[in-house]
Amino acid sequence: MAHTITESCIGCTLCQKVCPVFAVTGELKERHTVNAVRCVDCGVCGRICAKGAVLDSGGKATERVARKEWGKPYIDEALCSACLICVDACGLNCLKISRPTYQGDINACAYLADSKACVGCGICADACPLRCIRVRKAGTA
Amino acid sequence: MVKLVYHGELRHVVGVAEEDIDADTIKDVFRHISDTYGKEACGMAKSGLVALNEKRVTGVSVRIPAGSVVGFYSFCSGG
Amino acid sequence: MRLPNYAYIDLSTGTVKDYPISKELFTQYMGGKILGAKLLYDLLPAGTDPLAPESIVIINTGPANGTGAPSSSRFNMSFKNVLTGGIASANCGGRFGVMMKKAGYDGIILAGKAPILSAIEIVDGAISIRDASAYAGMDSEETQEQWVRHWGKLVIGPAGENLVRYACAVSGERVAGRCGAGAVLGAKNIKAIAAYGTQKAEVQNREKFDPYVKKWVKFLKSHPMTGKSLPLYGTAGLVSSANASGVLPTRNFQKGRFEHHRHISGETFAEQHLTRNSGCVSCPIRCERRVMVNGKEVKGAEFETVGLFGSNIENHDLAWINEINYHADLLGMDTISLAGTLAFAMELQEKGMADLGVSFGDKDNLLDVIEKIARREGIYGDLANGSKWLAEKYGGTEFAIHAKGLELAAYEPRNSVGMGLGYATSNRGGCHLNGGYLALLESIGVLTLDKHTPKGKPELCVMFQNLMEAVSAAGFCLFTTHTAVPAGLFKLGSMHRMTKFVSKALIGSRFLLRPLWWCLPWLLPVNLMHLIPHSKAYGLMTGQRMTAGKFLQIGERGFNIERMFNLREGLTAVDDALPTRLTDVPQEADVPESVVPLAAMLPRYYKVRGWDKNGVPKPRKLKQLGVR
Repeated sequence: MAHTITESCIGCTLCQKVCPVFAVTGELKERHTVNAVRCVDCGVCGRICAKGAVLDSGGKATERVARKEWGKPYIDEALCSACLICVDACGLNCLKISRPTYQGDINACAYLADSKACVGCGICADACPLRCIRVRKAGTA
Repeated sequence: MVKLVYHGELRHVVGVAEEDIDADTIKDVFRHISDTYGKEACGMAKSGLVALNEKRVTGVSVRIPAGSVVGFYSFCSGG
Repeated sequence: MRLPNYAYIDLSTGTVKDYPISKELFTQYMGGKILGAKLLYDLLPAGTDPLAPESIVIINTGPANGTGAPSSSRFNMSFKNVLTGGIASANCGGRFGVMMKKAGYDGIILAGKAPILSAIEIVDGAISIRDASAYAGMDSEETQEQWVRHWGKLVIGPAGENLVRYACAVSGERVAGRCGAGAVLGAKNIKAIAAYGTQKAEVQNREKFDPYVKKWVKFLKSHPMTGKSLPLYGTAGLVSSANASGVLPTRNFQKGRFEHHRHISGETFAEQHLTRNSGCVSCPIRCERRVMVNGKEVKGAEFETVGLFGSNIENHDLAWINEINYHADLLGMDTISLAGTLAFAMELQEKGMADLGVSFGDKDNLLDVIEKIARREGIYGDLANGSKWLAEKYGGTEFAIHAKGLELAAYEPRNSVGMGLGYATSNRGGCHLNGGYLALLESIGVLTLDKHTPKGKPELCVMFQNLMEAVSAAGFCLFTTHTAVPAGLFKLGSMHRMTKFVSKALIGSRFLLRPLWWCLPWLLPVNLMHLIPHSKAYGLMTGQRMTAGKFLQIGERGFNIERMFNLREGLTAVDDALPTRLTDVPQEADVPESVVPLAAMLPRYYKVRGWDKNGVPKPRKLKQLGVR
């Protein structure tokens, strides 16, 4: 299944910019399209669209959500093994592994290095084999 | 006299890189480490690789000739 | 059951078609190097030149890739060995394999030769070939930069383009190193393969798989090797124990101890050169070294490189070793064969048998030399052919340190004779991993099996060769096998009587290990987390009924199909050999048993394998394994 973009699209390119798997293409002021094979139904394109031009995989129109309401990944440091799967899965390069704090420090953990670029897609949480990432809004459980 | 040379994590635990002591056997060396630096340090020394004059030692009762160097290294694996 | 999706790419015509993998092939041969060997056996006529357009190159993944299992990013290249003429497999921890799988393909089979230097792109289930002639001569880093960050890439450097016989292929900063993996791609005019997609790896039983993965990761992180030594010291941590055990190759394997070993040890590395440790994607072990070279943080050297570019050429400058390691990766050359060939050339120089411009203890010109080797300039074109070729031209066969033509790794086997047997019988040539890695039990590890006795070594060698075959083919890193040595033994120490008892018992177990191979699946109908955690994970991810016994049997099958390939190519028992320096000349003059007693071990090895006295698998063994 995949999201789709209707003719209501005005080609603002915002969805293209936020798609974490680079599945949206299109020229400025022209209707954009979603690569159906690549789309992972994260819903980020639907959240940013101001024109209601995005349909989810069930064909239902998505609703805009203010960016400040988007969730961010929270990583349980006690469980994280720093295996790099989430870092690798993040197409927008938002996650990093912590650096050692002293010589001989082998404790490491993934963390959100670029919160601004993060679109809260949840791909990292989905990919984490230890289930130690949860995407939620700041200030919520 | 026998020189003890510590490497890796054990060096951090005992706090010195090397020291000279009196010891006749490897067992004496372990006793020195236990008495001076504690059980944790001794456990680390025993669980690592011990080399007498750069050759791996296989038993605690091995006699140490005077002027020898006993080195403590970590085991590793790899490929 | 989901069957693997393979594509057959004819580079001469530019056509791509599906190559179905049957359920029988999948369940019998798993994936990775074992399925690769079987496909190569079926598709490649005997006698084909490895670098000819008719040759076949298979790049494939294992079922574990992309599932989230620990240390599961390893992918494989199977091809005809440029150095030995037999089978080749080259394994790599870079992210290309997982990305190719995400792009919809578990494996690709390359045939023919592209008319111009080309790149293959595998994107969202579609494969295309495009012009890459603008990338000619680019190093591996620059080549990979031609695609955006999130794509997975597998590329060659100038060495692969110039068909250096030990050229490698590079994915990220990790390498499919051995046997000429880069040369076979270069011979097909393939500069790069790039992949991107978002398909998820299928796991049949998620409900049980996820908690098993958590348990396994916890186990890895709690073990002294995988949870402490490897992340602290990397494989470079082996230098100290190798030296103390007399297996650190020094001066082209003339000796097994190096006076200045402390300068190049893992401990010194960690104290003076390491910026941090890191790892392959999916790995909680994180043994990778990161270092600064010319102001840039790059991947640091592994043990083989430290030993072979260090003690083996009598150099103790570790910063330089990291520098040449980086440059070898940029140029795209296997550091083991490169350094091994250089050491041989140094000894030829010393003995006045050849003037190849390199000498022991003199590293100043070597960065320049390896550039020239990569470009096959002048006399350095000879060095690009490896030590076996050099010995045929200049002499010195007795100290050309290779087996079947593949240079040996950094374990001097005269003080670890099971390792010697492994080198001689490894199907791809002088490989310590395909050879079973008995050094872990005999010399560099906590166990202290008698390192000179031939007793028990054939049986243990077969056991570990089969295990490692299966682990690699499934897509896991071999370091996940190191937890088979119980953590408790490390706590007790190598001098404790329990550890010594286990060491002796392993030698004694040889009487049980031989019949084991005839009744594996029913003898080991269980999964053993603390010995072979892979088999249960494999069963849960594929939905197949899998046990430790079945898993090992697949490994045995893989080793035998590789052997059959070699025999068909004309490699016989005569090639299960080592240079006479290692079999006839004691490493230590006062220790006459410090030689590899290969002649004493081989007959027993063949028997345990179910092969005849000429090292040919008997019909009964092939029938048992279902190998045709």
